[in-house]
Amino acid sequence: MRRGLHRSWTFSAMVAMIAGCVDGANPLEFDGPSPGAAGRLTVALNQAPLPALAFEARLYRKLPADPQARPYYQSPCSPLGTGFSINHVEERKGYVLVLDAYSSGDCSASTRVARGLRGDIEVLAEGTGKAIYFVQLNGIGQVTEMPLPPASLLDSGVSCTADVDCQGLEDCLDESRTDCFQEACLPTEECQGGLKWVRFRVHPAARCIEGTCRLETLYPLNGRWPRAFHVAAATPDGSVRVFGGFQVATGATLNTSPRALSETFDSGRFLFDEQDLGATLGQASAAMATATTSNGRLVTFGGTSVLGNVNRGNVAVPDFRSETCVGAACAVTTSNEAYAVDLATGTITRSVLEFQGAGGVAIGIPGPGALVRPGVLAGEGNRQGVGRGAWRCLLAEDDTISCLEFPGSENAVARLSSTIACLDGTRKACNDVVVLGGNVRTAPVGELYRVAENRFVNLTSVGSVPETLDGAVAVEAGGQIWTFGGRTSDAIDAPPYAFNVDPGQGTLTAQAAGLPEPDLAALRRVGHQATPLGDGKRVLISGGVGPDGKIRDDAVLVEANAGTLGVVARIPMAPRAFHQAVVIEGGLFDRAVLISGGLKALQGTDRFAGGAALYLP
Amino acid sequence: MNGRLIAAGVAAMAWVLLLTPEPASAQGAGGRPRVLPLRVTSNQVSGTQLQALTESVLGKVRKYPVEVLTPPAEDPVDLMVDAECTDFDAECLSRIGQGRNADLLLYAEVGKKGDRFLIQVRLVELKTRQMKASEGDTDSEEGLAKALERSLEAVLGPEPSAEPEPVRVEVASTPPGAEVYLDQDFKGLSPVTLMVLPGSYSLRLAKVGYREVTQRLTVEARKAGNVVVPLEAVPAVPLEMPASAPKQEKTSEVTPFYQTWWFWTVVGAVVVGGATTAGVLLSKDQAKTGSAGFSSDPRLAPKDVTLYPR
Repeated sequence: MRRGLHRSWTFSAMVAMIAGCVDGANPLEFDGPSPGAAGRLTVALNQAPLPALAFEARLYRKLPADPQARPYYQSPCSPLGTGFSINHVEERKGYVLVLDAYSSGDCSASTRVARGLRGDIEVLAEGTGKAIYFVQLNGIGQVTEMPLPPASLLDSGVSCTADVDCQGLEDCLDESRTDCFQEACLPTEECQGGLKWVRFRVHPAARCIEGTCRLETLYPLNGRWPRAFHVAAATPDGSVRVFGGFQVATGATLNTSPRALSETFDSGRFLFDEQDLGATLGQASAAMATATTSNGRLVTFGGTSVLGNVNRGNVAVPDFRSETCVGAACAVTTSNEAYAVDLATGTITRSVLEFQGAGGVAIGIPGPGALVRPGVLAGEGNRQGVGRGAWRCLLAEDDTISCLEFPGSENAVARLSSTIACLDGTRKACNDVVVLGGNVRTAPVGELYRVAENRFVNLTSVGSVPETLDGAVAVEAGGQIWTFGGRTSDAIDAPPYAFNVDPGQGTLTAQAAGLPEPDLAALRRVGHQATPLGDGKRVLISGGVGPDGKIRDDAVLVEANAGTLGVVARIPMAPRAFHQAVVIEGGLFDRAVLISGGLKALQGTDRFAGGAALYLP
Repeated sequence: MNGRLIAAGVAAMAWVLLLTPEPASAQGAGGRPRVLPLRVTSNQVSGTQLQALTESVLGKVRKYPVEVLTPPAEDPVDLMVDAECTDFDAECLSRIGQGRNADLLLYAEVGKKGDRFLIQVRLVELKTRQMKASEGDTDSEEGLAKALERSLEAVLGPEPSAEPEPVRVEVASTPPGAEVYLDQDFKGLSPVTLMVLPGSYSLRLAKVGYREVTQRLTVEARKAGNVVVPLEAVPAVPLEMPASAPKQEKTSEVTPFYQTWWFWTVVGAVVVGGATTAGVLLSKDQAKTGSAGFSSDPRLAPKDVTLYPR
């Protein structure tokens, strides 16, 4: 094998080029923890985008729950050169490598600029083979996209009739090609030394799709399935479960897939796993109202299997129609199913609801349970319209869900594209639930659900509360409720608002954020995510559709303090709208945000944003 | 434990513990405290040396009037991780010892500062979580076993002067001629007569063409015994590559080229111009066996091992 390469002038030239480039930058060699062991890890660093001077590497035999736990091996703080090797590593499976990069030469914690992690590493016994592992370096304060196949493999241009045409091997006529390697000959073949030069026709994971070899995914390094309007939730062990959503773009509509596949991002390995939910999850698995409960269940309500674009203010985005429709004219099939997902085990329990709808909002309440405010609702006579009122839904011990109409909420106005927040408590067990906005005009913008008292209040707007706030996202930050994005008219024009609710008086006041125009412009969006980062102040506003109808390719980090809002940073990312952005809970990426799925375009067949990205705060 | 004696002070705790047995129902055979030694842990000495040091600890502790339990197979660092703690303090060691039917847990670690080896020994009473610790040092790897013994004596107390008498144990096998190992020490070919101190040992018999047998041998004071181990023949299998064969050549013939990290690095580097990456991976032992290569360059992600058939 090596003999063949050395024989070729191409390889000689390649080595010379490499040697010239790395002159004076010798990689580091570390003595590993097990002097008698033959295993060796070699890490090449690609530090170009990072302002890093030094690094530390830690090797775990299994990832600890506590980030401060002692690793199997920890390198000294070392200058960030071209890479390093750790010699004398025990041969075994399941290692986790953590790389931290620092902007100071002493690796002080406050100067950490990046972290990478890769698990499932197998250090093999001597003489049994070798492998390359990709370890993603995530810059702090940056959104780092997980890898996607290069264009040359996404559409190889190689014709095929079956997968084997793409994955199989073919003889190398020119063995000096860099993608040629030697493979043992079949017993029936005659070849010199029992070896022959071969190469993959395209890639061992490529598939034949519509007559062309394509490598559509780098799963498990990234999520496999396209998704938008899906669900994502953090598990207690540092993972994020992702499921449901639209997966197919057909003509003017988005559709779900017949296969219900759930994916889990494991931040302790930095890899995805997938689970086939089979028939467990119904087909109407997009645009579900979701909440997390205090007993660790993700609960979903309703959903749809199809959604088209709605044009407002010359911007067409996927949305529900607010007009009442009958039968086929509705073009949306809603669901009367609810699911409780045990986030620790992944077990899913299905229940049938008293109501049928999609596109609503929900929040966890004591019980444990959730308060659900549907968007569109199916009614008598095959009619469908915008929902009014809310349901109090409780989880039984067997995780089945039963719902009752929240008393007095029949007096609420019909709301679609509203948002939900918690005034008192947490989003997993909220006592005073506030629902804001939606496609209502000159009506109460806010409503309050006092869960303990079973009391519904239409809030009276006082002062400069906008008459309409459609498509905004509400979060709790800086001690009050903030909304980000949305429309106050047909345009995508809403500034961030700080809302105050007086439960006793039943009043609602709002104050638009006093930000410079460039910051306000950056925050105008719908179909975005507003993700509180867990410190009570900072919120990451990611993706969405901007006022110009284009999908935004940035995130804005804001910090809320006592009624004021400041923009901390604008962060580039891949275009995503109607995606999910979920804070990871625990592990070495505690409080990082997994941004998954979404749309990268609002028209055409190639609409889905691939894979996921990680924001490291 | 005897509360009155423990009250005498933590400094004397360990030795007091060992000499003041509770009723037999709560402790090991003969009312002796059950001591669970962990494997000696270190990042500074070889695995072979660590095994030898662990044996040394076991040998030392067996000289005390205690029941010595078999150390867990896992490295103490793994046990620490499982116990969700970050250092080997009393709390953590107590957690590690929970549910292992032990009264005392013994931890030993070899570190290094400058040119000197540092030894830390900790003994924790699991019931009260009281800990006694000692430190020692030596300037040579050869002196580690002795230095470790001194540190053990600092927590266990002086070695009892009345040495228990070795007990005669006959080990035979059917067929005879098997290699006999006692706690990894080769003792001869069966049948063999062993003179061993009371305690619990791992007895292993190995013979070419027969399945290896490992079993526990418990030796009680003044009770001689016989052990006969039947060996089960295994079907003949093709011989492996002789040990003297050049392993690298073997590897390069059987390992598909596309699975080698340095191959992909070269390809990736040329394709994307990432010469730095390739430089690192090629610069040392480019075809060294037993290696795993990493790259942080997303352009090399399609070469990740998970995407290839195993």
